[in-house]
Amino acid sequence: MDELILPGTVSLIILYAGIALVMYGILRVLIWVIEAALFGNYLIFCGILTGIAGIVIAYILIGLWLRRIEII
Amino acid sequence: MAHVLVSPLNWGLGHAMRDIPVIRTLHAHGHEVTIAACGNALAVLRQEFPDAPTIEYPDYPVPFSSGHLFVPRFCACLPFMLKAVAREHATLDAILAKDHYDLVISDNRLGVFSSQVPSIFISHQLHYHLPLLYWPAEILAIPANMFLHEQYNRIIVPDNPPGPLSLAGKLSRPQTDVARDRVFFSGILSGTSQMACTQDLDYLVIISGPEPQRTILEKIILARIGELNGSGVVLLGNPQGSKAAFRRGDWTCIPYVPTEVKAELMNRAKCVICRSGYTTLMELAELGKTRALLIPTPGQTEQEYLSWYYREKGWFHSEAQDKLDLIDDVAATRNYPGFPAMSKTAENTHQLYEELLAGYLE
Repeated sequence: MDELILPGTVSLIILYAGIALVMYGILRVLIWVIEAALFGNYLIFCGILTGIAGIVIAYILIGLWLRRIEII
Repeated sequence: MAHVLVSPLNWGLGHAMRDIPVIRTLHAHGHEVTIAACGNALAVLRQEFPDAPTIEYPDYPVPFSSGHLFVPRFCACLPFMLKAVAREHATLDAILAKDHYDLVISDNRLGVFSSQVPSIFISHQLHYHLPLLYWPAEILAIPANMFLHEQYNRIIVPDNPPGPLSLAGKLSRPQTDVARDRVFFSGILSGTSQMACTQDLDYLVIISGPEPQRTILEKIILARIGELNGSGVVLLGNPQGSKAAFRRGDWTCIPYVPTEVKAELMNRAKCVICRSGYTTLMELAELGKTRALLIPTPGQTEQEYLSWYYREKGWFHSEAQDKLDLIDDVAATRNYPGFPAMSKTAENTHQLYEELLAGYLE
């Protein structure tokens, strides 16, 4: 049974740790955005929103490129 | 004479159905086949091969329902899946300890492999397709799949090799050396065969898939079939419902029919309206159907991909369930010619036996 359980468990721990890390990162960024808006730091507020928009666009473009080169 | 254990997954009847020609071929060459499965998959194979020994071998329920948020739900189910697959693998050891087997054939059952007995995996999905936003998960699935493929001596892909005749498109594309070294493209494998009958049925509608999507499609279809010119049969795919068939104008609606009746109706139909499950698509290819409307089950990424792929290839018309306009979409099926000519199951199973299975059994 170990030939499945051991590597499977390790993979799941890595997967869930990765998901938790990404969720934590998203939460931190959201807190920065809200703080910047509340304290009137509109330059930082707009900068973060622009950064988020850039990351989202890059994320989608990378996905499209991976499809184009048939990695996924 | 060798002894082969064949074990299909019981997620729908598709896996069992495509194993029928493989089992027939093994029997034709004088080998003994023990069928290890559960639920409807086992029932269908018992009906098809009443003399073959069978083992009740539970697998695991579908870990998600169709609909939105499929990937998060699937991720949440992974630990339970892992446990179930490990249990399945342990059960196989017990089965193999009780009798002598020369070969194990697993149809998409991830825990059915052995280090003691040569093991073959049947799957049309060497690669999983996910919505674009989940592309990191699609990449992560590649090494996970590679690990699973490593457990098997060979992988039978019931599809033509990658290229213009590939029915599964990117799903059957081997992406790792592990898969490339093991893969055998058998061509289509269908338990449904051509019958000598006239095409006297204008339409056959096959409603299937998990709830609640099955019921939603049933309502959409029944609301508008009366507007279609011609007669037809609607298979409601609902064995739990009322047993009695009922008429609706020139249409007959049947809650549930056995597989052999369904095969006959498919042979008689000029136009088939159905989900885009891979086994159904192989049946369309086997029967040489030229007109079909494909309606993928919402949230089932494989069906959504195959529908899109066939439309892009110009083979069959497809439409999303929530955008379905039965009259217009049925009319659009006339603009598509169906699959190109390809080798059929009889030739494919002969080749499969000679080039792959015989090496383990003779």
